Amino acid sequence: MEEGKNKSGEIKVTEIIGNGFLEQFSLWIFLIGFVILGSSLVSSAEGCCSLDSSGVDCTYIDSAECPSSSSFQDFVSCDDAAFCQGGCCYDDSIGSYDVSVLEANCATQWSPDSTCDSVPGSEPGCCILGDSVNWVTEGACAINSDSLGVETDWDSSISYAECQEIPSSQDRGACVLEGGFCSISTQETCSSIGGDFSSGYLCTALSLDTVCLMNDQTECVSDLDQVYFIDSCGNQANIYDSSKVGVQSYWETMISPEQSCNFGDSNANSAECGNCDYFKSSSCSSAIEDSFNVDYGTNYCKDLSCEFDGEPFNNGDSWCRYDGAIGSSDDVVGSRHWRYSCNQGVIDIDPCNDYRQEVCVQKNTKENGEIVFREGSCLANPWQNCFDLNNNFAGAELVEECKSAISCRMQGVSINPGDSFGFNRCVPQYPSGFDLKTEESAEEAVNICNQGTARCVIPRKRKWDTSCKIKDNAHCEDAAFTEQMNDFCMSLGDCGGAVNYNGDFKKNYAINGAPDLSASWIQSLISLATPIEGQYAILEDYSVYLELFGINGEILRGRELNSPFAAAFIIPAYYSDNPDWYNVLDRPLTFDNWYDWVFGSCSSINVDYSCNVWQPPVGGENCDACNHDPLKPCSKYRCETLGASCEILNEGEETDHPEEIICINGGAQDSNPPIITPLYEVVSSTETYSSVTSNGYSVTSLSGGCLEAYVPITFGITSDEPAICHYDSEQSLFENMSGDLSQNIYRWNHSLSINLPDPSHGQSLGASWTGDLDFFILCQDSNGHETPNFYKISMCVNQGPDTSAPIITGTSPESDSFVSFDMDSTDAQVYTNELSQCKWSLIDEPYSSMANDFSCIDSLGFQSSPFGYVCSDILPTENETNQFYIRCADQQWLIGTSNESDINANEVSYSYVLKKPDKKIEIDWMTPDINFEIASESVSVDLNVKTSGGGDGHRCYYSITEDGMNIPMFLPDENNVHSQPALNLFPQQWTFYITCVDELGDSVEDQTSFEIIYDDNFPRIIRVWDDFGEIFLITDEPSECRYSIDSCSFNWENATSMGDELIHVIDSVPGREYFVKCEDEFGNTPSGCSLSVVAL
Amino acid sequence: MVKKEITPLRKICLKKENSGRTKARCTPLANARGQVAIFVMVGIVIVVSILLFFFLQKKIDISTFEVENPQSFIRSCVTDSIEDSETILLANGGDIVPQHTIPYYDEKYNYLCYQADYYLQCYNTHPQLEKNVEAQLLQNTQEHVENCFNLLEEEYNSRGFSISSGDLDYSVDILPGSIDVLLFKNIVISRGDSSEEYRNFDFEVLSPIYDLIEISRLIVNDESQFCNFEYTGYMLLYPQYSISRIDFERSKLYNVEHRDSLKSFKFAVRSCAFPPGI
Repeated sequence: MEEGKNKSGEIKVTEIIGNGFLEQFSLWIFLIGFVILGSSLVSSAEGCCSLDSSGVDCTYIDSAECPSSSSFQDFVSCDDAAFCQGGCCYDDSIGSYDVSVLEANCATQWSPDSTCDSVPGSEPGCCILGDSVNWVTEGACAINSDSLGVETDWDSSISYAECQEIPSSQDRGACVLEGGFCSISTQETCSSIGGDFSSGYLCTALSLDTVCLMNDQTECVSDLDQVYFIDSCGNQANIYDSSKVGVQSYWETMISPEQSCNFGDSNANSAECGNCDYFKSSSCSSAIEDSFNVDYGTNYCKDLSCEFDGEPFNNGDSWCRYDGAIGSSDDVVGSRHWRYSCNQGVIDIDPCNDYRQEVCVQKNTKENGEIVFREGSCLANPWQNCFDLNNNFAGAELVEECKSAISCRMQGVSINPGDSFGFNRCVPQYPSGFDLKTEESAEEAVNICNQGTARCVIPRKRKWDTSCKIKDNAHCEDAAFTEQMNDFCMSLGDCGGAVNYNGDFKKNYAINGAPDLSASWIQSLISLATPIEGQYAILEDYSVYLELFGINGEILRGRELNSPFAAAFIIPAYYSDNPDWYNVLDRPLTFDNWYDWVFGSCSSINVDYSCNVWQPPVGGENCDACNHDPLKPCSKYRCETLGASCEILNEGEETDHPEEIICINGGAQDSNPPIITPLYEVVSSTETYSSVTSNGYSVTSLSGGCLEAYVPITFGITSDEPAICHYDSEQSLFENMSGDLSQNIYRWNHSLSINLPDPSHGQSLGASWTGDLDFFILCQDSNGHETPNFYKISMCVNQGPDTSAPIITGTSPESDSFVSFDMDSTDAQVYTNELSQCKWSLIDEPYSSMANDFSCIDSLGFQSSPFGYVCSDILPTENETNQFYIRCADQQWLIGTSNESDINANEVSYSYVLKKPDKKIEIDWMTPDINFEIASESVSVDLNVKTSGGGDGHRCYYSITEDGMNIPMFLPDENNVHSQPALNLFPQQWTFYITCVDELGDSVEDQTSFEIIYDDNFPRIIRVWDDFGEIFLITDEPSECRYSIDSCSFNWENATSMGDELIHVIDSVPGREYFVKCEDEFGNTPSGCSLSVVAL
Repeated sequence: MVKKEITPLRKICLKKENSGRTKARCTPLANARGQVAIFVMVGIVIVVSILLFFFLQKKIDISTFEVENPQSFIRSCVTDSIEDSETILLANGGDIVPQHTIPYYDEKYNYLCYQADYYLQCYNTHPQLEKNVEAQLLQNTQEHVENCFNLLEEEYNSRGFSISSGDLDYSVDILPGSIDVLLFKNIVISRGDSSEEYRNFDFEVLSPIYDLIEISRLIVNDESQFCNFEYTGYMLLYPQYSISRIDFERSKLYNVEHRDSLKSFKFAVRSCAFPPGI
């Protein structure tokens, strides 16, 4: 028996026999399930290796590949492995603190706090270095000060902004030395060299009688924006102003920029005034190097602004640009979000991650209605979360969760109010792009796009005049069906009828029973390839992430960071441990239209929309369109969406050497069509290929005869180059063929699994199919070369009489599985290999006696599940164990006819059991749940939740507000402990709202509250008494106390310990004085003694 | 009429004149001819002497410079090595021989922070980078420094000086704006009765490497915590540095340049990588 194929559930198992069927089927379902859950299951020997053979830390590999000298933990992701926990590596003597360092890699001091926030000495402060300042740790300040030969002056109490103001506020002036020599300095510096200090005076002041004279030379001064005159001694004077050359009054005292020429203007490119302003995009620069003619001196205010698309941008501005319309799932195929920045007159290109894994969000700061600062940033696009919500929520709850989720939106299909066909799903605002050249990625793309494949069933009933009347979903045959389904299809990713950023439309969908997209509709899609002026990606509320990751408006490295951008980058980390973000529970239909050729009847009308992966136009005539915009360098994704044979050269070398990255037609030399040969690997043990020629073959039984009806078969072809292959029952044009062997992906191997009905059944219903079937196949490569001749695969099916009862091929849920604890009934489905009517009973009785009917609405040839024809019903599940007996009968169309006795019903019941768990999922405990103290302004906290009961697949979410966005926690370990590590919390009262769900649909909610208390107080002694040779002390918090008999300034290391709890004892000598000092767990200790006491 | 004084030579000339002999000697210069000859002969002797002097002297080796000041010599010699090593360390992200790199064109970028998995933040693989750089700088220049002192000794020996020297105590300190070279070696240079002693050969080499390393620490810390470093904003606050970043094969290649000196520190980070395609 072969394995299940892929997540789409296509059946590759070809042998299902009566005896041992259930065992085989169970194995089959298990294998299908294995594939579906494949991303969360691991092979038996994989795990986390602390250091692999190439020297990389913490890699998830096979145990055999992990060197014996390294640590290995099997079945554990490196994120959870104990030896792969990053911490803080620091050296407080030099004030250096490195985050996310493995303990094994740290040669100095190491703390498990991976952010270093709680490590003493890690906070930066203002380091005053004479005339300048620096924002560094205290240890680094000591280094800096020592190197300059100044006293260490470090202050953590002032803000970054206040720190920056210090140099300009320092008293500076002329320092006159003996002999009339003079320099500009601070009073402190002047005093140290024995000079006479004149605050606010220049060295050229006449009253100072120095040797320094006025000059017309200029200079740029470090840390200052402006151009300054220098006197004959080389001292900095006032700001360059050509009108002040030789004007003595301008050379007497220091004049501030505010009082200098043209203050408030940038003075960029001014020959007369050097009052530059960096924040107005000008700064002092060499006029000689820039070949600028300045009136005096050699420096000028260089213009640091930029111009982009005719729009001016200031130095430091960053902004977004796009390839077309964005948001509302409108992003076109191949498009990318672009971020640009103006860096001292040069435009830097910083594109967001390709395949739209990042989006560009722009925030404009305005003053008086004018934009004064633009800040663009590339943020992670958590599109997977949108799909994940569909799996965990439904109805109004889904809508609410989707709206509050970042970058998600609801997309629905509702052709006509009142029609039963319709649905509403949470989809990404910015759908992801796909890399179709990678096999694994291409299969994922197929699965994602398949979510958009749907069938609208239009039920009909016969009227009195024998004509058919539509009962429901009549509007599915309208153009609106195709349009809405296509919109939904496009919202999933690069799927469906869509355009690329070059404006090329490609159909990539199949519609049967409704019109194609109209020309005007297609034109509206093409217009999406034109960017909309003023449209930016939505700046959403990342505050939840911000708070939890320590960015809450605090000053970060000296810069007010109210921007929500930073923490958004950590969002994707959730999905590394949440592989089931994509879980296609609502499996789309995988039908084959070839049935339409065979059976035509007055039954339900099926309107089918097939959502396919978007493939670019064949060939490579548009490849060059990628190469002409230096501001939008080409990339693999952009190139490959222009043509099926487009290839990128110098892939990956993007922004630095854009001229070397080019997109070319890689198939220009290929003029041959694909060559087709049989694919033998998919053939099962009950069939074989016969009469194989270069033009085709026949699929027969092992004896060379026809195949058995209702037995799934698989057959296929292989092409000698990647190709897309279509098939049809008649010879027709490639683009008109109704079947797709390749799921619209260029592949080497193409296969099809089908379940052929008994021709006699169709004949009973008026069909004229004799059982012979031919598939005519054409294949086309990426250059558009088609196989010149049809490749024909023939087969025939044995015709009845049908003497076999239906085979129940499976159920959903599986038998013996668990159902919701809370629900008293469960939706169940039964699959049969042939069109049947099924019944159920609570006792094992003949089919005819069973009182409960399943609803079986499939029609002959139209099985709505890859597992077979579907019958469904709601079964009562009130008990802990619920036993049902199911039997089915075929050929229901014979009821009331003379051949009614030909109906075959199951003689043996299918035993079907649905169980409930012993108890509903519940939360056992959560941590933290008690208050605790810290000595820093923030602390890294692990949130842990333990669940039990319910089903096997628990997932927990947390929120910091009662109605806030639920954030998924990491997958639980084997003990069902869910964790969210490294939450950066600051001192305050916290409440976390926890919601846990299981796969059965049950959920439980709870909350945990705790207060984080900032403790920067040293322990206090609240009581002391003497008791016959012992002195007792009680402190207000657990602390270590030590004493000395010398004085308060004793050496802690050499002192005598009194214990480290709340009560402390000294074995005392009467009359002796004891000096006591106490220190808490955070190192808070008084500068002197906590207490001095004389023993009685 | 002025009566000319009759010199002895003139008497001779007159006599010859009267005798009808050649008059060459008795031209107006005839009287000075002998003096000229003497002068010519003296000149020839001088020229020949000079020529002999140069030919007989040892050839001057212009490649051998005069070691006037041992400290200047050592400083110059060691500075070359320090600067060469500094160049290598800057280009190799803090390692003389980087172990884990990513090639980009004809360069290799050394990983300072790396995470093999997708989506997860990186581990800082080079903590306390300045200490590490100091150690490598010291190790890479140790031999050359010793050679510098050996050269010094050889030079003095060749000039007839005798040198005695003690052990070398060598260390480097990377500080803001410079590299402090701490060299202590007791050297006594003597010739005859006179001698001079030298001990301290400390000096500093201007270098922005400390500041570049500090900025790289900020970058690595932010990348490992937040998966991003806002370098545009950083340059706005610190315009003396230029920071560029290249996104390449799910890694980020950083180039931090000190604008004034044009020296730049290059390294790579792989953090929060997105998988290819989907």
